[in-house]
Amino acid sequence: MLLEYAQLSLRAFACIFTPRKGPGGWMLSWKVTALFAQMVRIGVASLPTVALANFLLGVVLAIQGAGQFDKLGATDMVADLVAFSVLREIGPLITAVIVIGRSGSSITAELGTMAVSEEIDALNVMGIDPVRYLVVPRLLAMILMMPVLTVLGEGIGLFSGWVIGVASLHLDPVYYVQRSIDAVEQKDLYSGLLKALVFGAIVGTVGCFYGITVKGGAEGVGKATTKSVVTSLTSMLAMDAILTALIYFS
Amino acid sequence: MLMQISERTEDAVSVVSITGDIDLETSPQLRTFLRSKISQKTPKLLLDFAGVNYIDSSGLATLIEYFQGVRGFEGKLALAALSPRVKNVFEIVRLEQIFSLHPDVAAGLAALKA
Amino acid sequence: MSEAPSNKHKSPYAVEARGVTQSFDGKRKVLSNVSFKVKHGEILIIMGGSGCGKSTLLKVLIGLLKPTEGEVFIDGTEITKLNDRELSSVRKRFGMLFQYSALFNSLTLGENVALPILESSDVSPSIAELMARLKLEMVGMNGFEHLKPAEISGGMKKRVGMARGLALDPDLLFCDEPTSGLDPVTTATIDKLTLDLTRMLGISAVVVTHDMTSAFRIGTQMIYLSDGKVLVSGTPEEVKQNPNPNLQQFINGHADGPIPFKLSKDDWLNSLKKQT
Repeated sequence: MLLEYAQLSLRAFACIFTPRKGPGGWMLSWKVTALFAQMVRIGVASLPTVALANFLLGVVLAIQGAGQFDKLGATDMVADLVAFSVLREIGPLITAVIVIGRSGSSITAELGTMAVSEEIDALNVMGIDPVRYLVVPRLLAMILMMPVLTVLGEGIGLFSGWVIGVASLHLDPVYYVQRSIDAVEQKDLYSGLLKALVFGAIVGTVGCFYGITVKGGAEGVGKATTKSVVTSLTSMLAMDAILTALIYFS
Repeated sequence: MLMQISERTEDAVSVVSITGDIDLETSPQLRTFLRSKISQKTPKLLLDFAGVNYIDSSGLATLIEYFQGVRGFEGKLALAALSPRVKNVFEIVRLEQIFSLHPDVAAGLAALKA
Repeated sequence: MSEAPSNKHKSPYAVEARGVTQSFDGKRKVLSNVSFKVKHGEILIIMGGSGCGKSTLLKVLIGLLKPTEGEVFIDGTEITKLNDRELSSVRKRFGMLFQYSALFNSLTLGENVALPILESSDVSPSIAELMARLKLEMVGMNGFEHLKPAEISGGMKKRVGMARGLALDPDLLFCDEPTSGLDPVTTATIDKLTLDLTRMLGISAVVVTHDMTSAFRIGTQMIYLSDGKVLVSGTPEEVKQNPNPNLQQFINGHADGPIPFKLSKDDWLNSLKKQT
């Protein structure tokens, strides 16, 4: 099972970079149009939910922070708190959670339905590699869109923290921005994006793996979708811990 | 086996002899040739199939595309000397009713001149 | 009968199975020692009741399952030991009609048929579209190319599935229950198309079916599978004459006979006693 997952992932990554011979010389083995279709499906369609979740978490962070810092008489620390927690942790994490629930599950359900209705067998029989035709565009779209969604989500999270800071805590708008910038380093932004990239790879491979290996009809599709979401979430959180330790302990 | 195309003119008709198999690999070559014929507005074209043992549906599609292309300038197309097997490929999709097929080049020329 | 393009064939047989045995999880034997040969231009009918191993045999023949023992030759090439890439080049030479059509729901019918063409060759999209329309015309579905699979009936899907199987002008066609669920006229049309393809173009077909009318109309060779074994094989006449009671019950569709369908009276009684 773990071996099969590793095999599929390796084949998919190899396939991304393996060219094939076309009419005008060497070309990519996968279709750019298919990639764009998946980027729209995974990325653009998730954007409203990602934006809403990040907005709400920015608000919650600011309010919770204000409650604690108020006791110390340092409500302006809210800006620091929101800035580094959104960039380092909350932005990548909540974005990945939303994408797993929305797109990871839909990839598994879609590929699973194709598997049980013999469509994947049909691809094989036609000599079309399902990894190249189905997995690569979805995986690549995940890897590319996760950092994009994360950056947009982080922007919205920072904005909502600023709104609370200015409107409710009566902090100076410009001072809040200055504090935020002083509180974080470039490393915080990059580490968040690195996490997003890795999360994208995890969600893409796990979603596709559970999808194309579905057996047992409609019931199997349901079970696989649940497993895909649970596995994506746990491995994403585990990877988050590992990456955080590697980046901030060393 | 590679496909070869040779062309000559007989009584104002372009006679094109094709030799070899017309399949997925060679039909793009035939397509390029036929498209040049469309842009030259060749009024009368006779395809001599005597040297063709095999044609697949990409070959048929290429011929249909030419057939559609010549309608713009009312060009005429005839096919001659098809082997029984090649003729079967046309018949199984009822294309013998659309294309003008002739047993040999002479009959094809006569039909184009009429 | 028209002459097959013999120069293109490596072996006198389009398909050959030698001692194919398939067991799952090392115990349940679904196929045991199945052997047969199909010459070019012939139509082999594989028949047998539900659960006799027909579908498993078909999966082995098209290389979706590796048999536990035995060999499968497609035009002389042994496919059970090929890697994915070698297998996919063999597969481009045969077409397959799936039992439930297996059309891609996200693509239109025209795109479904054009897909194998576009994915395995460098022809331009406009040529591929014309080729797809030729194939749809063959199965009487021309004019439907802009519809999605969800918008047509099961019988129509089957015909489009056939068109897709024929997209790359295969020399060999596998059909899994091509006529089940079709009305008699469409069945006859599909049968005629299969016959025309073999007689006019010299292609071969392996057809899994339990539609006996259709089987005797198109078959040139038949095998009857029971419990994963070849019980009877031969030409349609030989099969009709064969006295095997199991086979005769199947061909004639009688409810009573040697094929175990319901438990005997004693077993039924025993199984009821066990429960309580």
